[in-house]
Amino acid sequence: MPEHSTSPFCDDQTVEERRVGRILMVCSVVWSASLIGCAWVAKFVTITSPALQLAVAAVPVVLGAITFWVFIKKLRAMDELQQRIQLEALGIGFAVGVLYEIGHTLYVRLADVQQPDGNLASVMLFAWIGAVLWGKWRY
Amino acid sequence: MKNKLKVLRAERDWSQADLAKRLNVSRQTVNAIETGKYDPSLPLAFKLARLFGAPIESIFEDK
Repeated sequence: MPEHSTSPFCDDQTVEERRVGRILMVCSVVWSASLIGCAWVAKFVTITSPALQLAVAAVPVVLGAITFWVFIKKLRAMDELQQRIQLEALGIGFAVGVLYEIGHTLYVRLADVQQPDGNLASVMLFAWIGAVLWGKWRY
Repeated sequence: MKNKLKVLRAERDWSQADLAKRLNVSRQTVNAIETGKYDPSLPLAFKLARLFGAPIESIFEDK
């Protein structure tokens, strides 16, 4: 018989899914810290060496790649309904991101905005989180 | 798709969590199948059939 978690908060996860989930949590925290750190360096520290500039920019990219790799491992450890919920949520997140980017780009051009700062990653992230919660509620 | 999962489970006095453990799926999946919100994949349907010792068509039926 497969092992299941005995935690009342995680009764919908197998031990393997929970184990990968813990690794994902650690990776997410480290990645977030690297993002904050690199953003701080970009804002307050002047780096003249092109190699160092590239290295600083690469740190969150590499850590992000590791985090996404662990996320894929967690997806594989999920059962078929959880995978379906995630697939739908990722599709919704992607679609919302594309629509946001189209709308934002058109608005910036039409309104002649001087500082066209968008936040595509945040929009996609919140759309994905919302869609996962909606999927959990729906099934 | 209709199914007799709840009846078969009750006959064995299993909770949804018990059945989920035996199938290696989440309790939410068992609940979603029982309430007809989710149709299982063919491998999972075969797993259910083996577990209950009954043919798939006797557990699931088209609406």
